[in-house]
Amino acid sequence: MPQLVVGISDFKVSAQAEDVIVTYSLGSCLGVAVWDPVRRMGGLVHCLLPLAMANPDKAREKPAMFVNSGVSKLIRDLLGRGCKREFLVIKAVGGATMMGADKVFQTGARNIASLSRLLEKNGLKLAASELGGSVPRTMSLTIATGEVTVRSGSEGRAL
Amino acid sequence: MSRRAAILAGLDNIPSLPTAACRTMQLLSDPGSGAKDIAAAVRVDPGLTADVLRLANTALFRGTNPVTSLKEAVVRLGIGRVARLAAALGLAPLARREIRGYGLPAGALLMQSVTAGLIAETLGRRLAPGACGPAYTAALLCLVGKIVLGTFLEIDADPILRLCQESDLPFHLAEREVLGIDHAEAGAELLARWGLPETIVGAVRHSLSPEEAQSPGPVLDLVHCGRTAATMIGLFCGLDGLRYAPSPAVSARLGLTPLILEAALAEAVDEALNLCESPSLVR
Repeated sequence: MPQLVVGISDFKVSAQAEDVIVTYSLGSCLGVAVWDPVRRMGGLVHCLLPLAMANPDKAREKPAMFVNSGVSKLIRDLLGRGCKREFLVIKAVGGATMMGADKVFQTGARNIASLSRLLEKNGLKLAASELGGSVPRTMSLTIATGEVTVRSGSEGRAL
Repeated sequence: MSRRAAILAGLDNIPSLPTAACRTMQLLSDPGSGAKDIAAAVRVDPGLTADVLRLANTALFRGTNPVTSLKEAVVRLGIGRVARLAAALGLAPLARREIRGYGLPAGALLMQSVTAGLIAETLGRRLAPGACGPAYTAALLCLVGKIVLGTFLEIDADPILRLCQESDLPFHLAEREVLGIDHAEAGAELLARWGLPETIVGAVRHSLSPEEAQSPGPVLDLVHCGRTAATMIGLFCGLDGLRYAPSPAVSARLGLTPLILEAALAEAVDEALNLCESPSLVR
């Protein structure tokens, strides 16, 4: 199957049934897959940080770097290609955290909170997620079926 | 001989970095050094000079005209950037190999090292400007102990990982339990043998445990933050994953807030990824 690789601060969309979109090394970063079962079209975004306000210049240059601008952009892109918002299936992976009680290095938790706020504000819900913990993950979206798989170490599972 | 003693003895068999790379790193750490000193240090190594020029001519840095000399590279990129490139290029032959003991594919450790260096430096510009140069160098080198333990000494990480999971220990504390030494200390011992200044060696030694340093300072604090943030984002992580604990005391000393951290990450990670895509660095 052709594999489309999404780098950090990037997103990709496909309507080709044979495509699998994959992103690697999600630590505190958040991977969000959005799929329309009617159009059989979907996309995957790999966001580094929670809020575009952290660096507005970068947000203009690379909106996918931030959860609030990147997930919005992915959804807008899919809607622009004819997907319907009521059909969208949204799944999220990542947001891992470091150990200990430090409050600054909690970007993973803030990424998750940013996604929750964005979805709530737009009346959207997560269909499934694997969030938190302390392991990096790889995530993929199969365009033909909408299946999202998660891999950490040698273990893989469907979400 | 204890496991720790055997590891320390094994350091003597590890090849040193090229002299020009070591010298550049020393100069980067010395506030009294200038552009001339750094250019002179790089120039003595034709291979390093060629690599710097090759990198200066990639799409990432090149202007309208090609850069044909080290002097032009310094004018075009600034001496700080040339020195940082030279340091990363100097480390590359050692750091871009696969590190089996830590589950790191070829290139991953180099990329994580460069990312840690650039985050430390970017945070330093905002929080401790005087410490930027040595913080970049020390953060660039702070993972060198993984090369030592994971490649040259071929440690078996399974018992370390098991102990981590069973006892909920940070990875480096489990390394100490199993090996008698953690990779930060092993790296520091190697850097001392290579003649790097104590500012760098000390910052690397305590980069995972800054609370153990007798006289912590901004270089150590920035290195701790650089390596912690580079680990946190998960890019190029090995089997140790995110199993490390950031120090709240370091964040407090630096005045680091989530917004400052995330603004720095937006800048530094982007630059690191661009740099790491350069064939001159990762080939």
